[in-house]
Amino acid sequence: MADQSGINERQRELFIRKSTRVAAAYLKRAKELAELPDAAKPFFDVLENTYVNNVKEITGLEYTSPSDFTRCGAELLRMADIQKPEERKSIGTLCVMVPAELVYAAGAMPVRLCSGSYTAYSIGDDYIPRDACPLVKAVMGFGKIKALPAFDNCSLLVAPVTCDCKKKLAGTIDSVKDTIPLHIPPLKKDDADTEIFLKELYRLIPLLENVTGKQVTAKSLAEGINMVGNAQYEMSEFLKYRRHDLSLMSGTQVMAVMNAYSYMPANIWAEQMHRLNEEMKLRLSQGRFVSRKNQPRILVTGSPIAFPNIKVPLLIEEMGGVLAADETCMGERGLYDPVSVIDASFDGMMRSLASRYTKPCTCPVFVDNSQRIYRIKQMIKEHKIQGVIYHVLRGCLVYDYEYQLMEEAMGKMDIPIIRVESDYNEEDVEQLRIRIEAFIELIKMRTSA
Amino acid sequence: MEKHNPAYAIYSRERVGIYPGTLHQKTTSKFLFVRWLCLFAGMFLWTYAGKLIHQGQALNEISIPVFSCPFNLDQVAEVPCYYLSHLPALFGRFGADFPERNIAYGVLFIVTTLFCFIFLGRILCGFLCPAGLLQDLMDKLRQALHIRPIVVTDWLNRFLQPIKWVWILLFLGFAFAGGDFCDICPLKGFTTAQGGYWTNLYLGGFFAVVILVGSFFIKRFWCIICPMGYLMGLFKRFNLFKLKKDCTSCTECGACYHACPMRIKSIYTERDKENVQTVDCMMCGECIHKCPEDNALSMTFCGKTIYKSSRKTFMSKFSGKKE
Amino acid sequence: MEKYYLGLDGGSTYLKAALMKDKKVVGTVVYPTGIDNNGVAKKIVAALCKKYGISRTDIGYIMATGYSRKILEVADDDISEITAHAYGVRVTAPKEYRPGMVIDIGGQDSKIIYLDANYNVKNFTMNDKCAAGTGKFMEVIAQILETTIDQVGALSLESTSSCDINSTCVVFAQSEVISLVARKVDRRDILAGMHLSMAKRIIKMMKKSEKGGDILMTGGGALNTGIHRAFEEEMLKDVYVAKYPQFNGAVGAALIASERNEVSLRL
Repeated sequence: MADQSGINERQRELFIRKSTRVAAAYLKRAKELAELPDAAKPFFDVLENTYVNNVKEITGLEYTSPSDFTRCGAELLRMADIQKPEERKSIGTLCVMVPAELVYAAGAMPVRLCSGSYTAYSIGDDYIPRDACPLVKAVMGFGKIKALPAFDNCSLLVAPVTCDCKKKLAGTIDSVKDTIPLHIPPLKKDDADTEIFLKELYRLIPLLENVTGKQVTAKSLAEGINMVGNAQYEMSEFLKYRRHDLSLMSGTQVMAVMNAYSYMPANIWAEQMHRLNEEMKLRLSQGRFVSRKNQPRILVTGSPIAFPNIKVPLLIEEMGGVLAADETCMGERGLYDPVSVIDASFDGMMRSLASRYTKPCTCPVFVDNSQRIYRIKQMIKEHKIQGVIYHVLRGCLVYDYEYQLMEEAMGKMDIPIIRVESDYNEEDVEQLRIRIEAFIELIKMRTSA
Repeated sequence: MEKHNPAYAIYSRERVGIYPGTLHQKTTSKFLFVRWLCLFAGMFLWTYAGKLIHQGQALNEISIPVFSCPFNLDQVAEVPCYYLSHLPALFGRFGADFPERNIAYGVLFIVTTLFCFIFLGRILCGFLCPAGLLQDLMDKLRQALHIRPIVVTDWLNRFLQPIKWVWILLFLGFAFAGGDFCDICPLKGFTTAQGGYWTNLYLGGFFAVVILVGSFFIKRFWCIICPMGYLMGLFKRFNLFKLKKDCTSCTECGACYHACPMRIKSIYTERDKENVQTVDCMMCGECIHKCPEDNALSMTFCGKTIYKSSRKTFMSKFSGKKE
Repeated sequence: MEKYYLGLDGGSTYLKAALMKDKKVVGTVVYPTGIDNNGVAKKIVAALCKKYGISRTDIGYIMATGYSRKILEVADDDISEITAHAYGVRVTAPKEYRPGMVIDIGGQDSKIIYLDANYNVKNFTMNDKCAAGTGKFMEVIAQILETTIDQVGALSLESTSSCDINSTCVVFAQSEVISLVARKVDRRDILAGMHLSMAKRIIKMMKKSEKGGDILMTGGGALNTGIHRAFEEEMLKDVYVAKYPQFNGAVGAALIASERNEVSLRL
């Protein structure tokens, strides 16, 4: 099943050395951007443990913080059981369209595997065509190198067949770990399309139960919905603070916090998020803002921005902008839409899940995605956005297609927009930097003129 | 059946019976509470109130179009369903056939009927109709027993539309063909039986059973095919109560469509217009109740908002604070 | 006394400077960059002060732009090249120019900046990944044809029938040109073909939707009359050339320096 040819122990050692160094560097840069709230530190610890320390042994790193808002990162992880697969199984998901509630109902923990690791990308480059999406290469790279316990401890992978690259990834990664593809209907307005996805979810249930040995019942599904709903509630409260015209927390740090959701159980994430909300409230009352009045507020939308590929948010903030909102699946969008259960029977809950994961989803893999422009308009209004950066990963054609429509819509609203394309390497940082810097100056000139 | 067969998966996941659910969700709101109150009041007024309130002649002539059978003589106000389905008799009313009623009361009848049709519209379906209450109670019973519903998908809805037109034809035209609509009316038995009146049901009895069973599995089954409701909905442009949508806030999640008993799809697909009230909308407020976005859907009375969707209220049920 | 303002444009090959007063250009100077950016910059400041009889304190503000903008110690602040070029055309564009597109052909990159009617930057595209369409291309070909970059324009205008150069990559174009020379093709025709190829390459970068306004050329490449004609032929439109095109960036930086109290850029 597993293809070990070509990957030897020495290669793995060198990989670990390089990838931990890169991840640690990005973590450090993100932490230093602005004063990191105490309650956000555990999220960074989780990311650190996943990408930096997970590859080394955790040797009782006990540290305590004087503040009420912090909990030791290692303690969180013990509760999270990422390290102990025999206590709670984890299921790897390759897209946010996999209902997390269903995985929790089966007694497992979903781990979002979409990663931004540059080192894994270069490993995956050997197995995936050159022009394909770098995110898919990074996932494949981790699959082959077997140096990321968060991936390796997964008992199963669930891969919604969305774009072309994810489609072929679902097929290719089956050689590394058992993969279940989920058919996502490309049209979503008709009831027949929701029925298709509903049938897929029903098909998924026994496969999940096989892994965990626990049955999905109406009660466990309701509890799963409650748990994820709680996390979404905390996110909703946090967004109120994010909408303030002077930022209380650096946008890149917010993205890291949202990304940490991939590697933590929802209830623990929600609990810590609650503490972060309290700290935001405190900061607001004390007037401790981290941005100034004339810094342009920027919205980033487009291809997923997954840790450690936080190049673009870091550049935006280092060049003097404020990352006030994002419309990406690994960021706000993955946690925004709640499940609206109409009928509390088991079938009713499943239908509401099927509906929630396809209908409001603004991913461009659907044929008609005009609702995304409305979403962006709404965000521009609520977050007081002055400029939009359209981020496209190299090879991500579906997002690139939508740039034209987005440009027209932004033109009508007189909001400046530029397209930046990036890849999973550091060679294009200078080119990105000059574009982002010029864009920020463009906005400053407009607002002060 | 084999345990891992997906077919088994659908039916085996919950017990049938009455027990508390574990889902945290917004089960009620002030608006819905008022609506239930009005429905019960309507049921009371049309079934028993006549016994308590002395019906003066004037009160007897005020007509409000809900489906409560006039064979129940205890109802407090008139309903026009008899005269609408027996239009020849309506014309005769002003003639020599009914010498004891004079023109003024006839006019009162016409005026109140028209007022309700044009200015109030289908909110009466959602708020006052006793048949509506009966169907809502059947739906609540099903939910309490944890039995899954039959979901009216697109194709089933298309199947039901021609049935609606057949009922409308029968409702308005049966009298001209010499028949009596009351013989086939499925709702004749409901309020009359509750009021303790005995009537002959004929074919209507069979339809009544179909409606009762249908409304157990499908929410507000009769209302989807109700002829008088459709006629009331035609005047939606002049209604005092309107349903409005803010298209920018809408995320197209489709919760409103799934919550709507009348299966109105345009409320979730509409992207430009503010007014999303269709001929079927009975202003029950379920869509607003289930909408998770701020102000995306709202109900207005003479332009003033009386109920709107709010993200805060929706999400607060997930906050876990009530524990 | 009204202050002087200095703009420095630190490119990869040349460091250009423009001295301005009362929003008019007083003087310009260009030095090769070498490896010591800071030393050259200091020399420039000293040379300009000496030439125009002013002291360092008469210069109110020094604004840097270009690749080396963040490392020039003499500068008080820095600004991106795109904004600098957009500002520069306010001074260097001919009177008839209605703001639309600015094509900047630099030594190692080329940019297209889209301006609105008030000379504000609406959008921009850059080619900084490959040498096609930049001054480097011209330099490489000029060297093979045993001429210098200042002469290629005039020589290409003498051509009567331009010859196609098919390669888009500079390195492959090099070999193509060598084989053309071996086949005794007149070098003026080759140069005309080279200019056409450059123009086509830059036109490919253009957004089809931004058509309003006139086209203006700046940057060192705008001094090349051959490229100017190639653009006019390909676009079927009049193309303007900015005054002191090589110094457009420095002029823009100086202009921003003088207006910085009205347009506060500092954080």
